[in-house]
Amino acid sequence: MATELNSDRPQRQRSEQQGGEPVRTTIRNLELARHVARDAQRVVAGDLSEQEFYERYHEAYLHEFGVDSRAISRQEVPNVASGQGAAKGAMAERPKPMINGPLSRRAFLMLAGGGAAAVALAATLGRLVPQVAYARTEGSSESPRAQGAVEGSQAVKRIQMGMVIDLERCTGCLVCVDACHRENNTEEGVHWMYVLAYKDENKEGVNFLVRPCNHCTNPPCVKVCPVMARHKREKDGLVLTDQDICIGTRYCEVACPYGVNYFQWGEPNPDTEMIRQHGRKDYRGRTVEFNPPRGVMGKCTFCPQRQDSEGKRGTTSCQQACPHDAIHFGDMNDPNSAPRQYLERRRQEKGGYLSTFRLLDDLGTEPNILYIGHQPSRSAKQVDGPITYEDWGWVDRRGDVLEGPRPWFMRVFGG
Amino acid sequence: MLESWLQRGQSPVGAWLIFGIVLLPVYAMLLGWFVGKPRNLRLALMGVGYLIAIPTLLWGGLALFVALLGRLFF
Amino acid sequence: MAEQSREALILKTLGRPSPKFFLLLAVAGGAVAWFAYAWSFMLRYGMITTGLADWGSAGGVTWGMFIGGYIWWIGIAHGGIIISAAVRLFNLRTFMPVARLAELLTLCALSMAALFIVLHLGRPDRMVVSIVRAFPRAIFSSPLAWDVLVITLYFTLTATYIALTVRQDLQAIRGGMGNEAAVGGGRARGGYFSRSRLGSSTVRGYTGGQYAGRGQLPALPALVHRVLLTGYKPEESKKVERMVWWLALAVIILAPLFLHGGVIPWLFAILPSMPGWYGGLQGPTFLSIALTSALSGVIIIAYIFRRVYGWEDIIPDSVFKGLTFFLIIFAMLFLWLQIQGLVTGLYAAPVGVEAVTRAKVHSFSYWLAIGLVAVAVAYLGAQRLRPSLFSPHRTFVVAFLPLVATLLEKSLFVVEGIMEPRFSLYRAVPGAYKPSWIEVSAIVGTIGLVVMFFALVPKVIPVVEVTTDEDRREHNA
Repeated sequence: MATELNSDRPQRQRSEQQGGEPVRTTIRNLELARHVARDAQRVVAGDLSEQEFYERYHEAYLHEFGVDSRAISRQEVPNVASGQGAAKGAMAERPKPMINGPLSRRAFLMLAGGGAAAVALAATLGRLVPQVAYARTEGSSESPRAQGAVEGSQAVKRIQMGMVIDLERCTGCLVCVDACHRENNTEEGVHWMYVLAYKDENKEGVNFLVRPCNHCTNPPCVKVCPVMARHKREKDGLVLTDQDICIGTRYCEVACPYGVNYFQWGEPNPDTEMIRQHGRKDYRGRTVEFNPPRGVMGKCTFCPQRQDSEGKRGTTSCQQACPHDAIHFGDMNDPNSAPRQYLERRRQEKGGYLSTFRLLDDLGTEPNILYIGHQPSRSAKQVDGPITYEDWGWVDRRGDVLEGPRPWFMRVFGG
Repeated sequence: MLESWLQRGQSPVGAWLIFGIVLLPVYAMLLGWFVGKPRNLRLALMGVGYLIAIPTLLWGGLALFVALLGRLFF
Repeated sequence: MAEQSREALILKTLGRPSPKFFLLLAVAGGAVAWFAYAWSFMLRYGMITTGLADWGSAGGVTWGMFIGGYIWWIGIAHGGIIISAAVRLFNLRTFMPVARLAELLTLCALSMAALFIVLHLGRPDRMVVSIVRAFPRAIFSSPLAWDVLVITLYFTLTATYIALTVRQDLQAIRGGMGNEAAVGGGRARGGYFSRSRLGSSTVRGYTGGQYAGRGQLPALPALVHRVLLTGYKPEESKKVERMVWWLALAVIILAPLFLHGGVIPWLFAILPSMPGWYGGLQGPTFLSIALTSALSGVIIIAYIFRRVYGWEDIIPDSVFKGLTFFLIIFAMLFLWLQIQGLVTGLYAAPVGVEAVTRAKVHSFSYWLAIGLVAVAVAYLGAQRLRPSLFSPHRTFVVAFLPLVATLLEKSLFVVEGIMEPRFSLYRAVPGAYKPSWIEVSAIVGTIGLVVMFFALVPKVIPVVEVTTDEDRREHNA
């Protein structure tokens, strides 16, 4: 069951010893990224044990950084590697990409460099601060946006969950996409989390744009919904669809400038009904989680099933899965939250000059995903990444597979 | 009020747009019916009766129809 | 022609149907049945059976012909109010004979538009409950909730309008058939009925003609008449006339300015996510093409009734000439607004706007739509300049062009708008769309429904105001 898919994944451990170590944080070499991603996939597929995965990179880690303080044999590993138990049920049949033969010494070292950079950062920078403070009721907002929203009121600062996504660390491995599929049991071709690999002018190689829902502070989808099925949850600012109310006008999908919505055009996969029958509701008793039933809109939810639970609060499946620690999830209005702290650290690393952007910010949606990196220009073109959707055995362009049954006359005449 | 709208991600624009502008002709019509000459309260009320009965029938019929769809297909 | 035969002509529609009538019903019913099959197929297997898909990574188009058909029918529904307003508020009595036909067209075209909304929904079964529950709050923010409100209002006001005006006529018929005193009072009426004295003899002519020997209408129409006449009192006509005037005033502002020039274009115009839709130009553009198609619709319906019932005197050539005049004006406005859009969209437009305008310029369907409107304008204009070119029949044929053009242009507007979103980084943008057999069946089926409506309703109520002819004669005198 998708509800339990991630229950056995350990929380990422924080290592608090390696605070100020200077680490190369960006993987520029795409070949390298490819290897890292493939190995991550192998681990997920169960072809490679976590232990092996880390031991393989131990030497390379030492080579790259001169020190290996991960103590891998004693410590829990990043949860990208903990997916074996989850590959049950409908997901088990999913075809896996082909893995290449033995790696050359050189390739191995390169792989190790990339992998080590990621792992090292996770360990080095870690999560030094509490992830999300839900019960916060005081303090002044540091975000001018948040101030705008509560203009004139000095009372409660609102919690707005969001993400800081470090595009400089993304390698396009699509592990986050996979994690989202598993967590939310979505249909073929439905990518609530979607990673666009693109080429752009004046930028070398392939760049990435990680695109979950922006959970906007001023969400057009919420404004246009005629039945208020699409709504903004008060507790944490999540933008959700009430699957019991939605009538499928698809106005939200049309109003959203980011294209994050995926409608349930046909019968959902069998697990969906099973989950629904188990009565998955959020803390308010509304059905907002997982794959929607037929005729209802779905999109990235920031995993309310996690936000409402004790153990996984303050995490999302994509964020936990990211092997490069590129996704940081938490309250964007709280300067002490994980994403804000991460942002601050990166700013300091870069000597105070950090390039960040919000996607289509000029449309006034006030998106809550803050990207570290450079905004794709108008001439940017999506290309195949180092790992394609097809490599994972998925459908990228869902429209191609949306074909319902044909009526008798078409079958007869072959129309 | 406004603040609460914005926090929920909604827009209060309909408040003045619909009730302040779009519905003005309907207000004027109702005013004309009740205070316009010749005065006839019975007929004005009958008109209001139409204004209530017709949408009720319309939406009532629609409700039955979609309930049927729900039984048959969902 | 004698007065008696005029009245009898109008009431001819209530007479016994001919075999051709049943043939028409069968053909239209066939189209409706096919549509019902297509819809049930879609309901059974989901909207996956349509040509629609998600925009973005999925490379589809989210709104298609269902929304195109919806806008189309709403546009046609504007016929009623233009004609009624012309007659009642601007005193253009030429259009009196087609006023009720136009109002009836409004009623059924609006119903078809509503049907398209139901069709378009993923979960129509929840529609009423969800909308009604959320309405008190959704009305503040959702343009679709505004639409629901204004369309319901427009329907209600038009239905009230017809109910109030038809009361007078029905009483006249009934009076003739049973109680002469109810009609023979020679009371003065305003508007349609001003100065009119419907002689009971004319109605007796009807009674003695079509239903000679029975003296009664069939059960169903008679029942409808009784319901519509609930609480009728002879002295009410003057007040009812004033109420109808107020109704006309309300609708003439509400429908064009806030329905097709308001909440319908606002559905699109408020969304910067789709540059092809965004902007204030949509309001006037929607309205101009709506009025064009509405007048075309009225011309077509009026011509068919004139032909079928031999109403050359009841719906004279002047009606078609007058309708044509307004059709030319609105169609030219539409073309002019297209030029506005093309010039601003191509000269130095922001990228998103330029992309969608370029796509439009390279689309065959777009130029076909524009061409159809242009040809209609050119021909109808020539007809006005050289009266020898005029014939109601030709006008009737040409009136189909703007109707086809509207369906094309509005569907294209919807589809191309989504194909060229502001956020175009996706490889799957622009998406692909091909109308499926279900969507085409829906268009055909709703046309079938409208044909059935116009076949059946004249069997129940007179579709031309019974007293109109006298008015016109007095007016001309």
